[in-house]
Amino acid sequence: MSETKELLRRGVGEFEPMPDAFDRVLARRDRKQRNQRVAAGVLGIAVFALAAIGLVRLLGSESTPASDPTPAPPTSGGMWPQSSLEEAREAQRLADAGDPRYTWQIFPESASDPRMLEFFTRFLQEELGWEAFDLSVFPGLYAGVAPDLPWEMLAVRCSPGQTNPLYPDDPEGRGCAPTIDEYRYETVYVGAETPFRVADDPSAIWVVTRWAMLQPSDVQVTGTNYRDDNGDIFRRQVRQVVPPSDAEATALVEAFLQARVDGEGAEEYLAPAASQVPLLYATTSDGPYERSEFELVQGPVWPGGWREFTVRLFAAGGSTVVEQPFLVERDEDGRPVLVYGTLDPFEGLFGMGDVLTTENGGGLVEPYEFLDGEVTFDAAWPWDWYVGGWGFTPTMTTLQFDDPDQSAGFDQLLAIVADPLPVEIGCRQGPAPADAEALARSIRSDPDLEATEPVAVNVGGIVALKMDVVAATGASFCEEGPAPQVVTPNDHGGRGVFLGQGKRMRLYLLDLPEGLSPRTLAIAISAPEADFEHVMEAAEPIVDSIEFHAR
Amino acid sequence: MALPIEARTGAADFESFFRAEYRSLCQALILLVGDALEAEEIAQETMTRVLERWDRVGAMDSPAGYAYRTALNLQRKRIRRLAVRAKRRFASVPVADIGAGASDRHDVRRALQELPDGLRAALILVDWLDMDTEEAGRVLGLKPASVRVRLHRARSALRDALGETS
Repeated sequence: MSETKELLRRGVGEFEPMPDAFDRVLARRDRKQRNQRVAAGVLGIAVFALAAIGLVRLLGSESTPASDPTPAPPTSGGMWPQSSLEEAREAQRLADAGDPRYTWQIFPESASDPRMLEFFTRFLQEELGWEAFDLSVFPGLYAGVAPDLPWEMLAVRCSPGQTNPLYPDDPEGRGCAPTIDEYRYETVYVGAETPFRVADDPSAIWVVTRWAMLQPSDVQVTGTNYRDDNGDIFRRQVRQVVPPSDAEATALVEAFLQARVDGEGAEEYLAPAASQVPLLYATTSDGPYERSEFELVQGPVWPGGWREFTVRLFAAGGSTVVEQPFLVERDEDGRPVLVYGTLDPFEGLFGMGDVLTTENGGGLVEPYEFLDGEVTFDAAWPWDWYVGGWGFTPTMTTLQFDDPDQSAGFDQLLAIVADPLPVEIGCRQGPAPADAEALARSIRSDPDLEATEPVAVNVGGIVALKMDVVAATGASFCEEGPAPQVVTPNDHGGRGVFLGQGKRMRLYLLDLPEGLSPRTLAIAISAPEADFEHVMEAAEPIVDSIEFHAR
Repeated sequence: MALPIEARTGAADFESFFRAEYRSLCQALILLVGDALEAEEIAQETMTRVLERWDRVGAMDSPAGYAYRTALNLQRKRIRRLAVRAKRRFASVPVADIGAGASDRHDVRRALQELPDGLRAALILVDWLDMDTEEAGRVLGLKPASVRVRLHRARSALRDALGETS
């Protein structure tokens, strides 16, 4: 083993993937499909978690939390409401026959079925004897119910009839006073499964398969479902945080924003582990900030004491406005710090780009490079790097239009190809064309394609030939892809820019000037016919921003 | 040398592909992002995307190369959101709970995280996954020569950071 590999092996450690990793991927895929079907996006699970708040909240009269610790002894248990697999199998059989004593264990909508809430509520009441509890402890991705199968849930016990003086204004926290001491909650972990059928089977019965009371923690714990560095479950009791006061939070945000206007020192107000903050001291066009404002969005939010603010920084006489969300929270030393982000658990999920920062209401424009910087351009979300595997070679790069309202991904692409080659029958690469005009002629003469007459336009200060292309009816294709190809990079055997039936492509073909390594360039923007104009409009700023940099 | 993964993948069957690749993908991502939890989350999302497109990806020359490219893209585009940051924080294990070797592991991961993204990715693809520079270049969208340059810089920087001699 090489020396570097040995070093890297030390970095990996003894990691082993989750044993149910494959099932989790299936469940993740199913969940996506389900969410798409109900047109609720990723919010389905959140709705379920949030619904829990209203159902189980038990508000009492104004009083202080329990001061006399009454911790329940650590305990755990197995199957519920049936106590064995045999009993559960019989319950499944009777549920299949419509027996109402067991059909309440069926949730046809699976993850987003409100009956699941009722199921867990009954468990907490009947099995644990809890009168008051909260199933939505943490407003994060893993709040209340973990998104993957088997279902995992954390619940905290609240003191019945007590209010929580640390969070008098939080709709969740004010009615959930701790049960152990001033800060700590009895916390139970519950796992549930469908033992005999796949979870998406609308006839499957659910049973609790394991549960455990969690132990105290040495660190402040406001989240729920987490793992240690080796991937092992490392759960502890929830312990609420004393929220920073209004004055503390406001002073912190004011000082942070003043430092950004001053052009230095803002970093000291950020949590050490905070992500990089875009546009910390200047706008995308390097305009310094002249003034700022901020507003409280929500908070303090139980149990972490977070306050979420929206901040706005103004530049160029107020004509440029940068808007960002920040949280004020306490760090491990109890010091209020700022974190770039939002409490919305679904903000900025995969594929949604950095939508946290906006400039004049739009997504942040980011610089892109191609051919080691010989070609540069700017693009803003929802344009982003293509997530697929083969949109990239040294002479080809691809972006995808990740618009969540459309069928993003494979279908809406912007590809740039240096020294593109025409494609012949059988996906064979054709000979290198003499220039852009020759390539345009070749494309127009391809029986698999129908192309418009090229017209001259300007791209990056260079005359380009613009043409629209569609696949001809009955167009042939080859093993490498399910559609005919329009052009192909010269370093990518058999694969190129595909154009399926029902899609349209706008193609720009350019002859590049001396000093650049390629002689020609193709910019191919493709989308389904129905989305074509919308995607072209979105791609226009990218094409307009293209610049060429001779070496 | 071609992607080692291809040889091991064999059948165009997603489960076989998953079983063959998932652990390696997680390990590579641990080195890339420095955090096992976050790495496995990205690996899960990567495999989900591969599964969603398996009819096409499974027919590709190198489904594994596609998966690694997808993982790199996801890692690059991902917002380090509050939830992730919070999970990382809560995952901070008291010192007494950290097993032997953890400190060493953290040193290596920290040193890797200090490398620029492009250097780190090149190092992991070539020195951890045993891709040749051509294959790594295909995944990274770079010329093999550019990969070699990045690799050289990454190795030197890693050794310097860890006080190792070449």
